[in-house]
Amino acid sequence: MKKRVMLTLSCLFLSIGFIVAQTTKASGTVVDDNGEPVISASVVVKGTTVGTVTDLDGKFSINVPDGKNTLVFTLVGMKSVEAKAASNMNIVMENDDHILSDVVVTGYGTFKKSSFTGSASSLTTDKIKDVPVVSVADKLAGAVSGVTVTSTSGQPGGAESVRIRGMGSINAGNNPLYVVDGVPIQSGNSSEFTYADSGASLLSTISSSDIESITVIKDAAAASLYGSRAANGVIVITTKQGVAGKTRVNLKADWGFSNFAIDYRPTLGGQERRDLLYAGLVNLKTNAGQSDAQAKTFANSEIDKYAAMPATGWVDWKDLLLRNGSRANYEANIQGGNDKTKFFASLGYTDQEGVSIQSGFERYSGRVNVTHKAERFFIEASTMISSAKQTLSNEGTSFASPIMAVYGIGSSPSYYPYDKDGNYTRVGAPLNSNPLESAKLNYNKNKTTRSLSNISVAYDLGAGFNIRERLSYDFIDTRENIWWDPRSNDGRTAGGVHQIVDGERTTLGTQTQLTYIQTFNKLHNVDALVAFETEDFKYSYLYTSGTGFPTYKLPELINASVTSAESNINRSRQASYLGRVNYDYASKYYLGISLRTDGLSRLSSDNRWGTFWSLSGSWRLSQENFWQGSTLANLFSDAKVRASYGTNGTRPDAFYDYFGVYKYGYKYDGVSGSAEARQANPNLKWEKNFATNIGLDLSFKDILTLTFDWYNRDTEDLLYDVNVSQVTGFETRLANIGKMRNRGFEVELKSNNIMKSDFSWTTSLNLAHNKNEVLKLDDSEEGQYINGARITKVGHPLYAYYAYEYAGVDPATGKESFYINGADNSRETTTDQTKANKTIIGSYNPDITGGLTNFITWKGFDLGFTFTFSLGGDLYDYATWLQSNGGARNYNAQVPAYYKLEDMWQKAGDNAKLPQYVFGNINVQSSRWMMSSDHLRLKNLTFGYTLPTKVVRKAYMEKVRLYASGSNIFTWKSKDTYLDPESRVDGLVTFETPTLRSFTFGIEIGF
Amino acid sequence: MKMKKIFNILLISSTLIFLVSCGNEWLDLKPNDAVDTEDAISSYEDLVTAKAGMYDGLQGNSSLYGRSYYAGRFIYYGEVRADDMQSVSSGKRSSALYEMRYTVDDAPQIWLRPYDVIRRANNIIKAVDEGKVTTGTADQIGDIYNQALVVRALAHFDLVRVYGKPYDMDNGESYGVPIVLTPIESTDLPARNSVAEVYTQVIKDLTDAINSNKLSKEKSTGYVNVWVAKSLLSRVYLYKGDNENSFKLAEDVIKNSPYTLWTNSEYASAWTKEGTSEMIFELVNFDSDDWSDREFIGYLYNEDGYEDLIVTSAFSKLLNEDPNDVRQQIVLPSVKEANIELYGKDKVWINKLPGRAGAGDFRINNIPVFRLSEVYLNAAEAAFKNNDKKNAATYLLPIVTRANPKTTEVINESNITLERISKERRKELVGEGHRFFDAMRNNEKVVRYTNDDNRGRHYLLTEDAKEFDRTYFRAILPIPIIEVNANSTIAKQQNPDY
Repeated sequence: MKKRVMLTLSCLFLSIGFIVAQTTKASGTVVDDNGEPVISASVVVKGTTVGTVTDLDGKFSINVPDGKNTLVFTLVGMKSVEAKAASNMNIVMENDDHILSDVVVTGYGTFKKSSFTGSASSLTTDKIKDVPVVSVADKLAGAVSGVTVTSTSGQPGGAESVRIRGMGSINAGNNPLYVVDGVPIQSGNSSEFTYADSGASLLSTISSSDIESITVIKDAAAASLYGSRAANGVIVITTKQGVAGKTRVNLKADWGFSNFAIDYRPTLGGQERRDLLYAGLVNLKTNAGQSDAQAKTFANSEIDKYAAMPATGWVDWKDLLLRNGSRANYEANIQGGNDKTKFFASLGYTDQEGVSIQSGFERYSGRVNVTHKAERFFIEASTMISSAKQTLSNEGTSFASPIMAVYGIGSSPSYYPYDKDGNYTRVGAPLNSNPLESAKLNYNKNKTTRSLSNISVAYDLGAGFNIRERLSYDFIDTRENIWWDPRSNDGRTAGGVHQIVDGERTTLGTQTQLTYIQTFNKLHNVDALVAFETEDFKYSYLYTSGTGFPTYKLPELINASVTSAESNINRSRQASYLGRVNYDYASKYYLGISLRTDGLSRLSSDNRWGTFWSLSGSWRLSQENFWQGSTLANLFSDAKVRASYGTNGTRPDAFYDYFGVYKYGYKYDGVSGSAEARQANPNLKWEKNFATNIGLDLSFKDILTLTFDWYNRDTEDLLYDVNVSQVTGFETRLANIGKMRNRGFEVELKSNNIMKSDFSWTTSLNLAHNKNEVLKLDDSEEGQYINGARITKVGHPLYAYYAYEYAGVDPATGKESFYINGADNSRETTTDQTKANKTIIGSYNPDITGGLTNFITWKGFDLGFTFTFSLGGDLYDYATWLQSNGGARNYNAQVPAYYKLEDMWQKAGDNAKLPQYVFGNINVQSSRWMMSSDHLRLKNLTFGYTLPTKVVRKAYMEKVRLYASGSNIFTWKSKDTYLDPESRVDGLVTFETPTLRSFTFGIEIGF
Repeated sequence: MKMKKIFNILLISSTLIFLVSCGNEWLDLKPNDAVDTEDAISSYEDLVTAKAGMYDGLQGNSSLYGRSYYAGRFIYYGEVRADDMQSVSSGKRSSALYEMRYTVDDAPQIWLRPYDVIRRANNIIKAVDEGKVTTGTADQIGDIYNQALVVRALAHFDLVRVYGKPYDMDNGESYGVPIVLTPIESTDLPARNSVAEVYTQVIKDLTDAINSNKLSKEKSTGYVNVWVAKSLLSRVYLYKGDNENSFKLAEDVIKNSPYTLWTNSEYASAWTKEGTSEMIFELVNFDSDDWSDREFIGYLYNEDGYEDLIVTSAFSKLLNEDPNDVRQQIVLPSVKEANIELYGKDKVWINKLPGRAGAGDFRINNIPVFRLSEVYLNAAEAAFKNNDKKNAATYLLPIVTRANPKTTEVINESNITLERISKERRKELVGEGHRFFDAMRNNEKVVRYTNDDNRGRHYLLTEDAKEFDRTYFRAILPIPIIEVNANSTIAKQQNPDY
């Protein structure tokens, strides 16, 4: 029977034949001198080629041929051990080198960092576990080089943007692939509504306290195995597993508060605003030739229409719509097990109140991870269930957005939200809507329930072969409710509006993997894998809405007088074949090859199969005789060079875009009409990435390690929703349009400054430089796409800003002036922007980003903090309504504090900082509204104290720790930057909730 | 060993099943909310469905671009830019068009939606031309085909009115809009045709449709019949200055169509009803399934809606010339206290879209596009310009006497003037999106106010916007920035001074 199995398998492999001899079995566990399991140590029967490696728990099992009885255990960075073969062996390997013991988990194998040929950064979450942020992604900030974490909004539970090595796509798909315990998962925004820009992050359903480690894969060597989804990198998350031994219980609780991290969009107070608007009215008339006295008479008669003081005094809308946020977090976990079975189980509860009076986030989460070993079977099962409730306030340019109300165009110090009887009023409201009424009466809720289950069965076929089947099922149920109370402005006419979307996302994944790990002649180490995978994703939703509610007290649709509904199902499938071989010779020379073919339903059958591959290698110079004999060995304890090249891809976000279709639902006269919705695009294909990475790892005397990587990432066949001529009747078409390059380098420096048992101090610094450049558009080197204040143009980075170039105030007229930027490159200026040409004025992309982290422990105290910084990028204030120096919104809404009356032009000849403020002015999009995003931010800080074990044991406890932690604590930036420097990733900022500063105080108890 | 055997068999067979089943077919998935373009119009039933889609395009929905046509912007475009209506305050939906401060970067657009309608019409025309429609009689198919020609003409005409200079400024020599007669490729970058070329095409489409004899001669509420085609053609000729043809068609509609003017007693309440005696073409707003929600023009007009735009003091004065004019009833005084403080008892709120009878919601109301009253006024104006003062008086009089049967005013061929006809047109068609176009084609100066004493209800405007005529560059909109950025051909053809 066994022979036949092998014959079948050899169809998959390139004919690997061998003979299975008569054997006895040896097994056991390998641990290091701290008692921690040693992973992927090579176990070889001395004098043979028979070998295996230890698993994640340091366990091994090997068939020892008759006549042999010695096992040799080797691992890079550890001293080799020889021992007599037996069952239940206990092997202790001593560390040879503390620093190189990092583990890289790629999802398709676990490697010692020293043997890894690609570029990846790992971090264990232990040291950042206390930082008060909701999302896993936020914890990455500053910790890993080349990774930028931003969010569109500071509302708790909002969708995050993570960029690894710049932006490889123009379309939405710039986020990395997230893999949890080997299974690619759904991430991104689940919200169907756009009233709030923050969206609902699917990643926020995962409790970060259940996470053991995070590996960020940046280059092609390991990422190519993920093929069509890996173009933007892969974030591999490993959850906590049980440890054999005593059953341990941990409890943790913390409480905190939050506010804005910066002084966001300061506005003028009531009187200052009135003075400014008054001056603008006077200027209107004096500019038209009236005398000062005439102009003042006019202004006196007009000013109260725009800036009267309410009977109750000037109104501070911040007090009405914003507050200090709060936070409470409780976690409990229990873990333990024995040789065969281990478990980890946790429960968590988080409750956050956001800074706007409506916003909040509440999450219950639970997880059970179990592993079991039975003879040759190894079973892993994990299940996570979580339920997250998000309440949102509107954002962006929605009329009910509290951020827009307080900082922009929805309120003013002259508008008091109540009338004299104490009822809500819209009299004086700049936008015909009472933001306070909207906030108090209406809601936008989003509940996400997720169950993520994953079971795998591995079977040891012997002789280094292992076969594993994994099934995963990710079930996400979302329910969004938008309620407009019949008493509110939005709900009034309809007698109340209730919209509900019930969404269901399911992903069924299968993975069949065959691995082969063997050592030949003690020198040749082979680690091979072939696999077949499928993924079947389905998204279905039911949208219902009701209007005409007899009472605001009963918002359920059963009470509505009119209801309507809509449903749809979208599906996407992918099938993949993949394989890789890693080979190393004597832990000196390493070689890796990977190949993957993906077939995707979102592309036409001619274009749907994409093949992605990588080649990588490394050379450990420090293992060479010439090195070890030289003085270099005294200085550098380890040295390695790495190189990789490979391809991977990005798939289209849209499910069926290659079809040309008609859609229905265009209703007229009671009939559902049809209309052409999209032209066919059978040529739509994968966006492909070609990534090169060259790296160097150096260790100086076990104290300092340096990792340097240079990379080049070329993306071809960029997918983009191109704006088309609307004369066609369409707005956009999805197409493969060009080529883009990200090139840069990364440096990571880690230093063990002090390593004593009661005093340790480690520092790590990372720096990254990335240059993004569009190389080709529409198969042309001249191509450009302009989209509002943004341009995509060959020779320039993605997200370049396109506007007039501001040339300061014209001394003669007091108007804004602009460089003409005509064909002759002259620096002439004009005050009439229609005579000037728009030009590229800057870009979002920073030149340098990085982080600096320190961890210090002394006796029972621990202190950790991370600074992040960014240099060379720009933000563009896209709240254009406010930028008119006296236009319509400047007269009925909040007025930004950047209008300083004392800095304004007065008379001809003035070299003023600010233009004259005149009623009725128009706004011009110019570089005046661009600002630097350079900043240094104390991203997080945690200070803790662990009570002495002797003391806590008396209370039958193992551990008691008290701590305080904060995030986004201080920000140093230019005072002209009145937007949060870590704003949304396209850099065009309107009225999204800015980044929050949070503090928390907690306690941790272990039994 | 036995256990192992079973396991191995299972493993291999399951692997093989996956390998076989996961071929290309497993990856062939089709959308659940769309059909292939190739199969979309292949029967008469499909044609009827596509027809509904085409009219839905004229009507619009609540989306950003959807509201930019007859559901909203196109109507108030014709009002707030002139002297009879105004925005209530800045920050309203109509304010940008009223204040006329826009630049090419932020100008409102009426572009995508009409071209979307043109594509829907062209798809119907193409499917019929290519013989794809396999069921239905020649008459049934021909009716829809010719409706599509008329709708295509209407959309081109509306576009050229917004983006091109009035015809007689330069005999249509300057830029109009691109003419589109087939569903073009999404990669095409069309150029602008001249105003004259657009008029020629519009007249051709309408003449072809009228001469086809396939269009219905009966009333057909909500759809184009031959009288809609003729009313539109009459209007087009009037705009072009071809008064003879304009009059001929208008008189044809007046004399031969099944439509009659509302009576004085019907007038005030006719607006909530459907298929009334003088309504030649109205877009049907059936229920909340085909509405445009709060972006609807009726919601903008309503004091209890967005209270977006009102009539000007100048218009109130005009209407108040005769306190017994029935049209006093389609402008309402304020009810809300805050508005009474501002406007007193003045009738300022247009009540021509008060909410469909029985719907109980003023976001649902049919939108009048062609009324017989307009055709009478077209006839009067065309006749006058044609030196046929007798007919001018003949066709103005019914409108005047309908407004007030007891009027003492005498209108006859000796005292009739163009100003008198124009004044009646303002009173009759206010709120229906005509005034601005009429002022431009007749080269009238638009005067909002000249000094603070005669400002009336106008809020503070810039000097440019207080008074202007059709030579002012903002009197036509700039080609939308999004089009300019996407279409390198049209980028070189922007309207002057933008």
